[in-house]
Amino acid sequence: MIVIEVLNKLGNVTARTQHLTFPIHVGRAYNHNHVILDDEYVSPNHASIQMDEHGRIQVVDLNSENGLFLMPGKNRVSQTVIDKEGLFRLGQTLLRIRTAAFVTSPTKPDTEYLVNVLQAFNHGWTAAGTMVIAAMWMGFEVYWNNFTKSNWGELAMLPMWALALILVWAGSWALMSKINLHQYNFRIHCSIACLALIATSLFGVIDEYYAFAVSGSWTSEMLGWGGSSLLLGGFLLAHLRMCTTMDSKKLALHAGGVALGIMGLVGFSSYVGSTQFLSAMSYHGELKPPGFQLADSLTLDEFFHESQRLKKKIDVSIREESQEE
Amino acid sequence: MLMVRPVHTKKKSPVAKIILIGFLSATMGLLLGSKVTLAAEAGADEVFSRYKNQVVQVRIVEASSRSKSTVGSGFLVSPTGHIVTNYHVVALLIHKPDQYRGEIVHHDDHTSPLTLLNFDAIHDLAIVQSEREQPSYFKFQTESMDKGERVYSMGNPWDLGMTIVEGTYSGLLERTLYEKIHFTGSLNAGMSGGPAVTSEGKVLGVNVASAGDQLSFLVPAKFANGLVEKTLAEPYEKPKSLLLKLRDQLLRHQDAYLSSIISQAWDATSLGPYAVPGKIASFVKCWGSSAQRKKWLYETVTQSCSFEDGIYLSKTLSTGTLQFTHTYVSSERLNRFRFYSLYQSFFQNDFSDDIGKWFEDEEEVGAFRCLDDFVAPEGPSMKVVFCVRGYKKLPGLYDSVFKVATVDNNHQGLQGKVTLTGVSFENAQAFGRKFLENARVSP
Repeated sequence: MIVIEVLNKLGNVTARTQHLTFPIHVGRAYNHNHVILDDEYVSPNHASIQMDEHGRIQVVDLNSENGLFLMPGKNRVSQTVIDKEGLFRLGQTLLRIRTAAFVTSPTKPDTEYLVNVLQAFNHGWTAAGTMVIAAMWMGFEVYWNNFTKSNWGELAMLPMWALALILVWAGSWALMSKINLHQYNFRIHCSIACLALIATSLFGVIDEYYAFAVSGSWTSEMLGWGGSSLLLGGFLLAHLRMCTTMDSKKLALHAGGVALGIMGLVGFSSYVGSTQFLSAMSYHGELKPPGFQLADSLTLDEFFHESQRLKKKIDVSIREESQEE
Repeated sequence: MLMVRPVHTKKKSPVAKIILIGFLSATMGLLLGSKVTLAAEAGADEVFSRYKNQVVQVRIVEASSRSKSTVGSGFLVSPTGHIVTNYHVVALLIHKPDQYRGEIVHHDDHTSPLTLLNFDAIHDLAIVQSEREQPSYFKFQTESMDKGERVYSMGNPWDLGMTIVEGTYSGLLERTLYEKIHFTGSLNAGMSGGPAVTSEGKVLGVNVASAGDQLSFLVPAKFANGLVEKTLAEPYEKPKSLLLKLRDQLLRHQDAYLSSIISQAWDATSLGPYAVPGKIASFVKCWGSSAQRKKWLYETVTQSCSFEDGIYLSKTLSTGTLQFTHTYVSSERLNRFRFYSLYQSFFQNDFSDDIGKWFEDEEEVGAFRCLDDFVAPEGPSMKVVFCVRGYKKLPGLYDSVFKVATVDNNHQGLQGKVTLTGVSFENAQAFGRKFLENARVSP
């Protein structure tokens, strides 16, 4: 038994046939060929695959116009024996022949945890549950940051808008899923969006507290940028996973690239904004209850000593800018 | 994020609204045409006819297009063509000497080029010299005057021709860093730099600003006289850089008034349980307000002090102002996390207006850079932010902003902000330091 496979330029199989009897004829003509190739550079009766008296598989060139080549390399052969596998070029077609002796690679364990986890949300109640939690979280946030006596209308307004947006967002992803996978996965996309909303807002709170605690050192900036990129990338990956069949690693690369691109744009636009308005001041203005302060307080002397460095920076940039002009 | 902030209304003193006069489009006068002479009562016509020859028009002309960009007035103070006018009339000659030149139009329409000999940006004065010599000129009034005395102000309003405006001497402005005479009469744009004279023709002040409604201001004669004497005494030497001279004047000036403020003990006023600096100098004005509404879950008390009479430097830069605000925020009804979320939004959004609007001319100033950290002076622990930007053409001068917020209590806090414009870095530091040292919990 042998299997003949037609490969495209990337090495992926485009056609595959199994043969139990010999000889097998390969060519362009519709006479007695078993494998017919639509390739103008292939002769009508180009090659044949036979079994010799020792049971070995032989590939023989039938005096074809353009010849038979053993790949890789450019060796034109008139006759060759194959053991487990042989790759040939006929005209412009790549042909792979594998015998029953060919050993396939070991089976990979299923590591698509993401898919398994996401599938758990493919349930009406779980999806509805995440939406309720997201709405409650939004309502709580409004209440938390409203410093006048709240009324229910105000508290409900923002969560309603947020839910409406989530539905539209999830709907767009679901359409993509439908086009690619022929299933909407709407509940999953909805859950992903709700979780993203809650996680982003929670992360914002944690980031602020951290920035306050360490008095806005570079680590808080890193946490902010790194965390936002990870969250964005992660949730993009989850959405993408649910609307393509692409390999998870490739998807992760794509999602990561897009997330970094978006963060880069945000960073760039905020940088441009800060250079455009000369009265813009950027500093860490987070204020949290006194118990959260981790960094030591400076003495007045230390603070003003530190400000001497600020002066140097300002003087240098002023000098540079004046010279440019 | 949804948040309701109290609106702090602040009373502005009339001085804060004064507008510098002297800028008008060159076409304005042409549109309106003929000369107008205002002679309100007997006396004015006499003064006018006697002294009009000694008043001139000062024009700043764009060198390449020869179009007028600034038109002001001036008056002769020597037989050799020395003329007093305002700094702000000739400011372009200092900031862009290559682009502009000045000329004097005498009473008989004779035009001659002018040379800028000296200036005093702090008091808005300049001495220029015309090439034409003239035997008659003004003398300064040295005796003190009584409120209500007649004063005649001369100048060339809106480029319409020489006029005289009659008004009264209303004394010196009180509580101001830049001494000025209050003149009850209508000064108009273009009269800047013209003389205000007594009926004997002695100059008691130089026209400088108007707040409308017969409320006008003059630079006292003693400053002009001092500058004239100094200019006449020294032989004229063309300075290497007028901007450096301007910078030195500003540096000296801020050093003088800030070091006196910093060296003296500051009055404290209480804001909740905190003691904060109040009226730290006679020329600083303070006002307070408290805000509390039934719907609010918190209350605020604010106290602002400022000295907003800046020094005009150019169209895109004024300087020499000082402002500070304290806001006490407290709430018994918000838990500590919510209270600090409110407290933070007060700190991040400005809880007080800045002095006017920040000047944003890239040619004049650089971008702000900030330093922020926890600082614990002897009083409560606080978050301090110090933002500074430098002046490009006047190196050594800076605009600075200090923001502080106490972080020592779960239900109340004090926030402060100090804005100083046109000061040396050392004085910004010293002022900020004193400000931090003077904010404390009342014993």
